[in-house]
Amino acid sequence: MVDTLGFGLGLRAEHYNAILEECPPLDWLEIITENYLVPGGKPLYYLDKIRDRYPLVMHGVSLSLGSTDALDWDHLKQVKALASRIEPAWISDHLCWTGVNGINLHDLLPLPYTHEAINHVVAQINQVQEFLGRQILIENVSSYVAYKQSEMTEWEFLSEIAKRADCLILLDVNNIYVSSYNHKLNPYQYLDGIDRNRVQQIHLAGHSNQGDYIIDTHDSPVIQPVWDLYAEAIKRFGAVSTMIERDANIPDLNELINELNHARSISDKMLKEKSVA
Amino acid sequence: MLDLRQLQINFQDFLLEKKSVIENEIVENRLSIYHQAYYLRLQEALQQDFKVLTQMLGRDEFNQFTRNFIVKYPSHFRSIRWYGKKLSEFMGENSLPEYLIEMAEFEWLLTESFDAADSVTMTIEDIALIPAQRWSELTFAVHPSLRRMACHWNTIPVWLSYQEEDFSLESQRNISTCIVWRSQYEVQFCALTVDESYMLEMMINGNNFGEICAALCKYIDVNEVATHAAANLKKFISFDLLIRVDIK
Repeated sequence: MVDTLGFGLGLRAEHYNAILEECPPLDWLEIITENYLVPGGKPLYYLDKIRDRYPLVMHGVSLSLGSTDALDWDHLKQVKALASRIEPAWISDHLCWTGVNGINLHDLLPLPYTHEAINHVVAQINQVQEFLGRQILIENVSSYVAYKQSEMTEWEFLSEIAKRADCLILLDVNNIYVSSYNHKLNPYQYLDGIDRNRVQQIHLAGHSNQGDYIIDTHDSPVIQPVWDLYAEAIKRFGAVSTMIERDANIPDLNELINELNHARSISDKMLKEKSVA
Repeated sequence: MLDLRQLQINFQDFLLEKKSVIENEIVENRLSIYHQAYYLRLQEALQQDFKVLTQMLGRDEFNQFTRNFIVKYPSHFRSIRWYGKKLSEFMGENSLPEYLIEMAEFEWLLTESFDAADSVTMTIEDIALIPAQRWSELTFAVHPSLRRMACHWNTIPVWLSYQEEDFSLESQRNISTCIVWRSQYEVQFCALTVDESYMLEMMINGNNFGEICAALCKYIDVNEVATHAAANLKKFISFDLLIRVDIK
């Protein structure tokens, strides 16, 4: 495990200039890997400039670790080349599948929580880690459906894969909230089921509540129940690198920094209480 | 119980609107969320890449048309950034008006140039160092972001007017060669004159300056052709279109 990087934001093109001109008080930034798998131009220009000033981590959306297709080695080579270029603190992707038969559905689709899926995903992660020469982080996704064939809970599934593949976890606290709401589960029980020694990073985000279900939209501020769940996560896992994701209705950078500072204050408070206890 | 692969095929078939029995495998049936998100996400990506085309067609018609595109051409790209590559081809298959197809082609070239490979560009000083007697042997390399397009409509003026939110300019026949490239990380474009276009094509094909001057005589008086070609060359260099000059 890498020591905590502190508090970061997802790097978005809307904030390139503000980050370079104002050098805001961010400990690190997370990039969407696929946005920078391009030959050149502005994205890589800004990426290199920002890398000179901030630690970066790479977060992918299309490794498709759970797909029963073979891994896309051309894509992995590009990921590895980008990692050589920017030397990220770590590389993450999602515990999901994004398509089969060569098709990419551009969505993070849930897996059935079965032993068959565990065996498959562990083998895929082993290959990825061997190729990249490093441990990766896998992130829990939001889900709107559950499969009849599932044999265990999501947290048991995630934990077993992380243990057997010896990989780390990017725990998306908002996704835990969303999926728990959608499937009528206890999100605190989810946290209980996660090995604290494997949680390398935490994601926070807003979502869209549709009444009887929630959609993970990343288009609004983090809501109080998610902050409460985050506080509990820090209490259980200790200091963990934390960031806020915003992918739509992207506000001024300062607004996100204020929201991030709220995360920082919650974390400080929980760590203080923990040390006193 | 279905194995993992069959489960994924069934799920994918549902999203692609093929015959599927995935519902039998699901506890809470909120598959429609994934179904809607699938089309919405790809349509939003296409709207981003084809902003003026979206406005010319109108958002509803654009969404209806691109929905058919999404059904016919599922993405095989790791990044959604490349998904619009075949849109103009699909427009042709469906007999959309030529001026709309040309706008789609032009907007796609803008996206291609945006993140094409980088290269240091050459300067006037680079060429000034070369003795005059060697000029006829010069060959040139163009910037990797350069794209060329034969236009049959007033696509660039229409695109520019839409940027100004002026929707009154109608598409009209107008033959020209348009180029798109990147200078200082900004995408540029312009229409070339016939001789500029011909000269640039010969440069790309590896012809030397002497051959280019000889060929340009079909457009330019022989006594003026060298000066004219040198002026074109200076213009290309000032535009950051050229990255290297060699003597062959």
